Amino acid sequence: MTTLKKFKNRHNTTLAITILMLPGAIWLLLLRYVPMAGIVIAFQDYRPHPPNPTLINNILNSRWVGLDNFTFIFASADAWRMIRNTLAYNAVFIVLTMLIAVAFAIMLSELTKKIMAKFYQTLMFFPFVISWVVVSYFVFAFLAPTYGLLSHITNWYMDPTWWPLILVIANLWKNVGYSCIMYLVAITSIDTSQYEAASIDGATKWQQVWNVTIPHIKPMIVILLILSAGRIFNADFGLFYNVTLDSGPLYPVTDVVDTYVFRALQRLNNIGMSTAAGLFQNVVGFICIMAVNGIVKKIEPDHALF
Amino acid sequence: MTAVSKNIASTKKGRVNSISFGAELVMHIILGGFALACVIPFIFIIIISFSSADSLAEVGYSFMPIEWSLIAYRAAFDLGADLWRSYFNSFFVTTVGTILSVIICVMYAYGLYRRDYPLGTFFAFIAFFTMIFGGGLAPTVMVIRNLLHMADTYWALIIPMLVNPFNFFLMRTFLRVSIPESLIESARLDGSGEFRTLVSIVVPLAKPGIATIALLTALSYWNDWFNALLFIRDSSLYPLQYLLMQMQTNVDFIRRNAAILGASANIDFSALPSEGLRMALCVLVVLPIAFAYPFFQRFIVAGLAVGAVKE
Amino acid sequence: MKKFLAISLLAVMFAITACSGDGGTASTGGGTSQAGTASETAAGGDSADNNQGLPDANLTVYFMGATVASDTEVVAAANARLAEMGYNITITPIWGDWAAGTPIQMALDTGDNSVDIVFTSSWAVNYVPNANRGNFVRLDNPDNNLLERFGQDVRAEIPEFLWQGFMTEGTQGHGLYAVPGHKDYAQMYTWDVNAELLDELGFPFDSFDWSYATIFDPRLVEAMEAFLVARPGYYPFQIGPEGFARSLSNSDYDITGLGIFHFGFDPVNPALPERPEVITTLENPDYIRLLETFYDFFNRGFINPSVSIPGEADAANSAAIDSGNYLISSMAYAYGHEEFAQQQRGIDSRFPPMSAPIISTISVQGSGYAISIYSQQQEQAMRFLNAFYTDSELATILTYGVEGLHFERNADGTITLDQDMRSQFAPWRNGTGNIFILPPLDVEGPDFYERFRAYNEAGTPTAFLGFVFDETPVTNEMAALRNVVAEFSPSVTTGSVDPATQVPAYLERLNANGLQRVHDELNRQLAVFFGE
Repeated sequence: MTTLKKFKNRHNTTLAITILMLPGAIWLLLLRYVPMAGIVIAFQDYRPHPPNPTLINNILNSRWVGLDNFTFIFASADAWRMIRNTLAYNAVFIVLTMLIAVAFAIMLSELTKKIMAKFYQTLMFFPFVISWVVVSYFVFAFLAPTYGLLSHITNWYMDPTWWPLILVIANLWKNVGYSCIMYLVAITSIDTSQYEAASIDGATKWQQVWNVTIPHIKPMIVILLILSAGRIFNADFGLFYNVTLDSGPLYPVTDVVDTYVFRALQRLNNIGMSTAAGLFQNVVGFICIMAVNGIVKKIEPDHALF
Repeated sequence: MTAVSKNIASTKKGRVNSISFGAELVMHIILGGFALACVIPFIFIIIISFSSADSLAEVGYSFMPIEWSLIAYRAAFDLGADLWRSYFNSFFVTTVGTILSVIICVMYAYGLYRRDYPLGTFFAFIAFFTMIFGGGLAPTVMVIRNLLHMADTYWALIIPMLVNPFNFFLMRTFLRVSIPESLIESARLDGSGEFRTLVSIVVPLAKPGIATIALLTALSYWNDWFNALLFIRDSSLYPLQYLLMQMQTNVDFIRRNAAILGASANIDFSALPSEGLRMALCVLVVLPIAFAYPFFQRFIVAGLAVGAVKE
Repeated sequence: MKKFLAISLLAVMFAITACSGDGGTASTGGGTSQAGTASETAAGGDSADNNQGLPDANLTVYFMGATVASDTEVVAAANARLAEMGYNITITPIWGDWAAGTPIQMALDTGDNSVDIVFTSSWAVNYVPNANRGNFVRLDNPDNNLLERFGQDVRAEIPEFLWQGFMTEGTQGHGLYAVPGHKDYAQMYTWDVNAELLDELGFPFDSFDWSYATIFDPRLVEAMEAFLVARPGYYPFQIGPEGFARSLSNSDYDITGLGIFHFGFDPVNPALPERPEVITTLENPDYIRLLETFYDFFNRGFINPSVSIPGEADAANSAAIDSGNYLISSMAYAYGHEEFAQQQRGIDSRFPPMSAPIISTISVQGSGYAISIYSQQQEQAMRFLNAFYTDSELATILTYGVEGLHFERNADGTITLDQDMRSQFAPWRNGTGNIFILPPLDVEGPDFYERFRAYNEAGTPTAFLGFVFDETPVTNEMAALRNVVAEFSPSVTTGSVDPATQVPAYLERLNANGLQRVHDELNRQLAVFFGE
């Protein structure tokens, strides 16, 4: 009797929660899964098919070309260069952003003057509001030939030496504040009594951070890491194209998959090739995210994405 | 009353949790330095936007221009009613979009958060999968335009950005770190339905997380121009970003192609905005969100202060 | 399990998409009927004789380069004129400004069936690639020759070689995919000289012959040295990425769009030789000499180091030129630019030609109007274009507005614009299909179009006119080469780097990325073009 009631109860719960999820699920179905059929364009020489050129008609009647649309990414003699740049920058960005944001979040939470913490945190978020195009103006103000504040050092836009560093700094500057908020919100949910207990046990400040704060924000660290793994092959176009002002001599250290594809397809409007490029990036991201998620699942099943 | 309790809390905290004065000073220097570096660019851009063209030619981009000018803004304000209408459009779309989006996000994330919900993994996977694989532009546009018939309506600006699976997972994590599941369990034992639990227990406790998601969502709505490019042809529905971007593109194009367009291009060059235009435009875009930010922030860091006084 | 889940999900999605595709079709049908009811106002609707039984149509026409705040009277007048001419057509213009290239391209790429006619050209909404991808309707399609059925007037009105220049490869065969714009179709490179300042510095303008070789004249160097003293902080030689170099190299006529092939016709008499060779620009010794000269200029401080940065070059250039703080520049000239430039800069700028006016495939494709493949009313669209290109009154309304409101007619045949109304309604005149049927403005004088025609007629077609490069066989190479060109061209062609080291590096990278294959393909297609 009671088990039946419990079962019914459980059933009701499932139903109720499913209803809550429906709006999101319907949206995903309509705006993500339905259009996903369009991925087949990546394998086609897609062209409108008169007299009735609806999307579905075009797809049904376009010629299949196998993997031809993908080859342009690798046909270049510079393929390795851009792939290396994309992966290396992303890896550095992910790790450094995480480390610095966590450090800043912990520092902010430890400040005695909360008003100052609030103030710093407000300012830190600001770069996230500004677009890369605007950031590029700012960088230009420093590095511009002749007029720039640092123009006497070198002709910055012709000399690739310092650009890896500049790009890393620009990326950190823009994104640390945002990640920092995530960790901060997680930290604020820690019950202070945990610190008190630790403190009474004689834990130093450092030990408290290590034993209380870090474990508590670990789910947030893990989830942000997993999610960024999925973008490992997608470079931030604004950073690599706008901030560098697309200056040719810098390409050895600034050319990434996204900028390469952009330049390659700028004049063409080959939907097949652009879909193929995107799909390729996504597949790499997918493999990466599944791998990271798999590892996390082995170690801490609770923190995995699914 | 609160002041007193805060006081007590901080002395108490001061006693058990103090960090050394030196360490705190170093932290202030690091955080303060970084924080300053974060806003100086914007101040710089404001200054440039108010610099006269002569000043730009003379001393370049400078914190101390030799002459001030409103000329860069003139071009923007010449838009007159169009500018104010686009402000309204952006404001309207951002508000409605953010509210709807956050509601959907919290409901979805709640399901993901509940470990006892059997379909959780399924829904997590279908959300995750769309983060990685999209369907490409043309099919998505077709759904909005031909299936939902939303072209040239506000919906075309709201619907495409309504859901961001990334936020689902962020929200789920916020819920995980801030609400122990035992709380949900006891609410259920008290006979609270799922919906009531969500509204009366989860939402209040997750306020900082919700505010964070709301802020991110509002930002992406405010900064969006791409959906306008795809779906909006009626200029009375232009959001601010799109209007200003069009204006900048238009000016750049004329500069680049003045010669090939011929004498007949009907361009009044004296009316072409100066170099400072692009700076002025970004000030016009960023200012509203800069003022709105403290509103979200109040909820986000409310936790900071609350954390200190919590029992 | 998960894999199975994903696969079955995908299967479901495909099924749903198939259904939604039907939905799409149904809705386009709906669109047509809606247009039908909307145009019942068209007065010509019942005169079926003229309209050959075609259903009433409301056409959406996407213009470019317009500054239009209010067009209510104009649209009403245009529709009234169409009705008066017996057409059961009304139009809904979209007055795109100079930023409209992207939205037009987006509409085409996403299959927007609400747009019927779009602006196209060789520099925005690119004609050749769009025809190639099948976004435009072929107008002389043997199966449905719209041009013959509904466009006889415009076919006769526009010079034959413009049509020839619009012949291209497309999904519906080799043919015409747009109606060419009839404006200035000859292209010429000129110097842009600050004559006033040159005189002031003691180097009279007339003491140079301003041929193309003047760039090597040592007195030019002296003049620029003097400039540096007279105008500290400014640069005498204003050169955009590729700018000057391309005007001397013919690389601007490089139909591949890469700007690395030298289409070897004679700049003085472009009709010669009859069968020119195409070589790589970097293998042309004259061109290398030019690059060396630029590098020398750069080292002497004549060239702004910003100009090799693509994102900044335009701003740096135009700021200096607009304020008159330059000595020498070059430009791709458009008819009537002198008055315009002098008025804008307030100085005596002069534009001596450095090459003959050339009629090439690229210059001919300066503007045009195409019918979108997604249009549901293609016949009616062709009929509208026919009227737009041949009816002076209709073209005038859509360019200058309504008589008595936007402009007044004068006794000498010119018109005077109402400046207040013009600020509300100012389409780009060269974007009007056929500018030669427009009345001249009072400021231009009654003989304006005679002079204009004379300028056009002075142009010489190159042997390559009508040749279009189909890059399909070398897609990957072209993609890679575009990146190499973007990497090297801006710095090499502006003298910002030493050609002695960078030109070989550039060539090496071009070769590594398939330059030879593209060159071979180009030669193969040229052989076909020349009927060999």
